[in-house]
Amino acid sequence: MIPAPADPPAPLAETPGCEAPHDDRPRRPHARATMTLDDQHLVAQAQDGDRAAFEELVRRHADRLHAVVLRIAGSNHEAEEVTQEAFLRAWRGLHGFKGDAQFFTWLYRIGVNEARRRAQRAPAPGVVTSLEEHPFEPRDPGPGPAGAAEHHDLRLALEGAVRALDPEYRTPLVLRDIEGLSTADAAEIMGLNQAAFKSRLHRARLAVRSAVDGYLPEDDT
Amino acid sequence: MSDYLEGELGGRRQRRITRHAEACPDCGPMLRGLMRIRIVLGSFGRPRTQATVVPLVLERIREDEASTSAGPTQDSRS
Amino acid sequence: MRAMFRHPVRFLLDHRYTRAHASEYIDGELGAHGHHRVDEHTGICPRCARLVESLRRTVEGLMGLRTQPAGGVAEDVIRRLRDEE
Repeated sequence: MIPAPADPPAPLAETPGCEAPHDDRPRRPHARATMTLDDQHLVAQAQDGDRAAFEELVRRHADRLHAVVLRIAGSNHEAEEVTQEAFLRAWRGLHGFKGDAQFFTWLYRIGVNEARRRAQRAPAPGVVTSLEEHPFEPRDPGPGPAGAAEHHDLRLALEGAVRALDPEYRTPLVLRDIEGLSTADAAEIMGLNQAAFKSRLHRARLAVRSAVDGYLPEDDT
Repeated sequence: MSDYLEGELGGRRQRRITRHAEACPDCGPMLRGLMRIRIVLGSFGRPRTQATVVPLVLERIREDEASTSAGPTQDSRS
Repeated sequence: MRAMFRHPVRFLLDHRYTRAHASEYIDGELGAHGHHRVDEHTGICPRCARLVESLRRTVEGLMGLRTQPAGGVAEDVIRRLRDEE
């Protein structure tokens, strides 16, 4: 049985030396912001066959994984498939998960790798896709200071630049800069050493910078 | 202060504050900090939410369990 | 600019170093020595200063693309403001 919401596990300090993931992983809407998430407890139960415990892991991680996969694979349809498949493979292969790594990096690795594979097979950017394929909508400028319209343009430019990247360069950017994962976690998810990861990230950032240079805010100092 | 940040002060007052901020070691960082916060807040726009995929994933797992479960007993859907 | 001519080799090496490590620099992932090196160089090289600054703004812009976490706007705002410090 998973603990009832009113009786969370004892407060957990971060494991010393264990790099904390981005500090806003998906939570149920009513969860307090200060609650520390502990997947280990749930994973152990799920490994014993407790499917309800695994379903709680789904609730915690599915939406964020989907958001990441969506940006890598590019289409809603693919992203939904990949997310479902990742959790299914995780559920079936949970016995193969060693407790030394974090559950979410192991899970994300499954999903992100599949998304990368699908993205490689997808048509090159520039091919017209339906609006449904690009669900990210910057806001309408509306009335307000001129800066609002500039942000709108910048966001559009950034979205386009990210989409235009080769998937192998898009992925590090999505994990590190958009999703906010640490270098260590992002590199592990991609199966790269940190130096290789940073190198790709740097090149991806330079490419995006070039594409959006005209939209970046002027120096205000 | 908020009028300055919104760009709604008259030109002369705007410039006075800008010049002061450039020279004053206390006001400068504070003002720039407020501007950065404003940029961050301004970047949110319409909530960029995606519909949750949790039900979809749960369904998928339950289907898989149902199709691979051995005996006649079925898992009750919780 | 005088430094560029007084120590042209060092300037060039620092220039290349800065362009190669600009991402790590803005992420705070360079060691103290490397960080100082880029600090010094961007002080005398306007092109690198612009590169570093535009790279920083690009990454800031990318942060803004993140879809909202399930918790809602409040947590996202708090996180972003914390990152700004």
